[in-house]
Amino acid sequence: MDRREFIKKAVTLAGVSSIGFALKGTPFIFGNNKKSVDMVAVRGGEPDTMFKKGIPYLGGIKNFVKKNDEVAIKVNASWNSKPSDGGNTNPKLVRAVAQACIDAGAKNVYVFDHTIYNPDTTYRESGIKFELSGMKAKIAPANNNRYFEKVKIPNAKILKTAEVHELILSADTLINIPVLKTHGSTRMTSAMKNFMGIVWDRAFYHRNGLHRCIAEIFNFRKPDLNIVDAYNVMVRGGPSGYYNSKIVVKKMQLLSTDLLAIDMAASKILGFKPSTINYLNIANELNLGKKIESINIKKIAI
Amino acid sequence: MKIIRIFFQWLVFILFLSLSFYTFPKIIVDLILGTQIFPSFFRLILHGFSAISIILIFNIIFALFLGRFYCSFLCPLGILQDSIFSIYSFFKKNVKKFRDKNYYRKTLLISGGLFFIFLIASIFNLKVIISIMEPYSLFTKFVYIFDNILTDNIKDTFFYFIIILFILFVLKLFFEERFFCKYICPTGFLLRSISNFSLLNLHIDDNKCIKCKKCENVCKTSCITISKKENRINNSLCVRCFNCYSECPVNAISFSVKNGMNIQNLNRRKSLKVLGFSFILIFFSSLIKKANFIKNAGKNFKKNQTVPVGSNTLENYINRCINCNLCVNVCPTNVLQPNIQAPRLNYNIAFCDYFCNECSKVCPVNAIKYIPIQDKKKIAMGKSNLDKNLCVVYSKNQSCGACAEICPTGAVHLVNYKNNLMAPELDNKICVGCGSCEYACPTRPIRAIKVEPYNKHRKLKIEEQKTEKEVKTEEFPF
Repeated sequence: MDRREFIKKAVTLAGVSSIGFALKGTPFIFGNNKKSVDMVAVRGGEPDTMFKKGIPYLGGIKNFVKKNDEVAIKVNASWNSKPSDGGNTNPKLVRAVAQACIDAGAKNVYVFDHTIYNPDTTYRESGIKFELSGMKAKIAPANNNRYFEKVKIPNAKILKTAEVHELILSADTLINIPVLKTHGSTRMTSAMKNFMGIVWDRAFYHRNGLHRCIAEIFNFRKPDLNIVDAYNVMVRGGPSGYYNSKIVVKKMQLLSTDLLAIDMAASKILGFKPSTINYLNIANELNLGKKIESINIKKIAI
Repeated sequence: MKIIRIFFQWLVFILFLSLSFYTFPKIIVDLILGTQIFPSFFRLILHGFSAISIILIFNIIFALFLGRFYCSFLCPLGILQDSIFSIYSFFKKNVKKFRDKNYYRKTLLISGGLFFIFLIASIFNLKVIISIMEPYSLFTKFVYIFDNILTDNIKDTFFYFIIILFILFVLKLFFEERFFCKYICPTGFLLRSISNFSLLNLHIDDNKCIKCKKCENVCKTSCITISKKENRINNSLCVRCFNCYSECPVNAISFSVKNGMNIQNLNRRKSLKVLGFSFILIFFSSLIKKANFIKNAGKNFKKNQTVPVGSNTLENYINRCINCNLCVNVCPTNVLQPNIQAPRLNYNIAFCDYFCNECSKVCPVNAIKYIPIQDKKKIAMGKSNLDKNLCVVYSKNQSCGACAEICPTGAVHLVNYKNNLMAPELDNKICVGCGSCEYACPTRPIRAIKVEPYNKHRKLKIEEQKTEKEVKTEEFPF
């Protein structure tokens, strides 16, 4: 960068930030002189608008996605259920996040999940395939062992090695978009439980201690951004919602970089005490994040 | 004529290929598969008359009018052979023709003998022989192989058996064009005996012919003999590819009604004998097959194997299936795996999707009868058994619940067991035996929860599930 270019860029930067400063009510894009926000909780809007309202408080998507980055978005698309049934991540939210990443200059955007049911039908039923059609974002396959690579997990007691999806290794930015549901055996599935879908051998988790394995995978890599979709919340009959299920339309969304705090907040939305969910206690032991009491939450109602 | 044939061939070939990869409505699938002679014939004798049988009758009428029209225009294996050979001959010019003195006699005797073996095999349900000799089943197996190579699917031992066969087949193809149609194909033999009497035939006009022998070189089945004395076309061997028709420089070859001198090789009486022989054989073997003479057909098939929804009973399934593996090709979860007798559901690899009825849409012989998705959801293939000594929750006191998580009907559900631990419990009244619990169960090498198949599929009373819905606006609880 020569001197002239530097001056040009400095002037434009100053100009843009002063515009941001001048307009009242809009969050600051450059430099936040207030106390930094750890978690944003939005409620009352559609999933995509809630995301657009909420993300600037975390510094905008540009804080996470740099130009020419490869972005991997881990969604929940495991079940043959429609968007209104709350079994899968809301497709509008997936679209909004993927579009934001593309607009921020991402080179490749991949959406992936090691689905439980057949991926062809689940992506179609969940509406994610339809929403992503015609976009630069692609659905990365994860239904075969060859897309997974064996890695060593540091500081692990049980899950010492795991076969994780190749995107976990190659992606520059990892975004986690779970949907909030109850779960038969672990009580709640949210940001942490969603990362069970990045490994090939899920049976290993079940066989050797489910709660500890759920927490220990994050010693390998944490997601850079978590967005919990709590628009249609399944409060009974999860995770599949195939029988005896109940949906409460809460129209909420949580955004955070902190894994533990967002799951603790999510458990409160479902009406659980965080301490009753075992993997959250283990995550606290492993220092995966801050507790909800000690973070700064920005609440927005639309 | 040749251009029309090639165009038609591509159309049919693409249709048959797309059957394995795309979902079509049931009627279109039936229409495409109905063109195959032996599958629709088996369907006729075991299932009675249906719309598909009309296509079969049309096929026979076509054979009476046009000869072995089917081989060049409708048979997917024939088209596959043609395309492989055209690639081969593109690189190597002047491919040798294999033909000796007793060529016609030899092909007739070998294919006739194999036809006899084929019928015996179909009576005794020897699926290996049926599926290798029947051209359509062989074609779907090749699609299966390509599919496996390209997409790296899960393989079974049977796969290697087919791949050896495939290599042999391709090697033989390179030496001789349309080898399969001349020596092995039972459908070919049947059409051959009919097409002796076909109305329209290829003829060489002796006055026009300049003996350039171009037609002899391009003929796919080497049925043209050009010599100084006489020109002959063996119309029973001719597959109506019309290569000679467009190759002839003086337009001496015509496709017309003419009982001229050059319909030779088999005189009327001899060809009537062949026709009568094959029809009597077919008649008796179909009678035997219809009477289900061989009762314990599923003897070699393991009794603990579940059969797909739509086949109703194991015996029914084994008797009707021709092991063409099309259902294996279309199965989205790959739970249907090829086997020597008939495709089987392998719950170690995958599970039968509760929301899918793809296999029942494509079966050409109705071994898997078509069942609409809402009916399929209420039919039980088996029930599950839980071994509490092996189960992670009961034996180790750890939380698991993988089976209950995946169960589509709620037959496996979680109940409170010990201080906040949830344990699986079974309700076999609503279990459909889809095997999802067996697939998800983490215990190895023996799974704690297993599906035990029913001898006859049962109809269950499963209520349509509806999600309760509620809209609530509330403040954040934190």
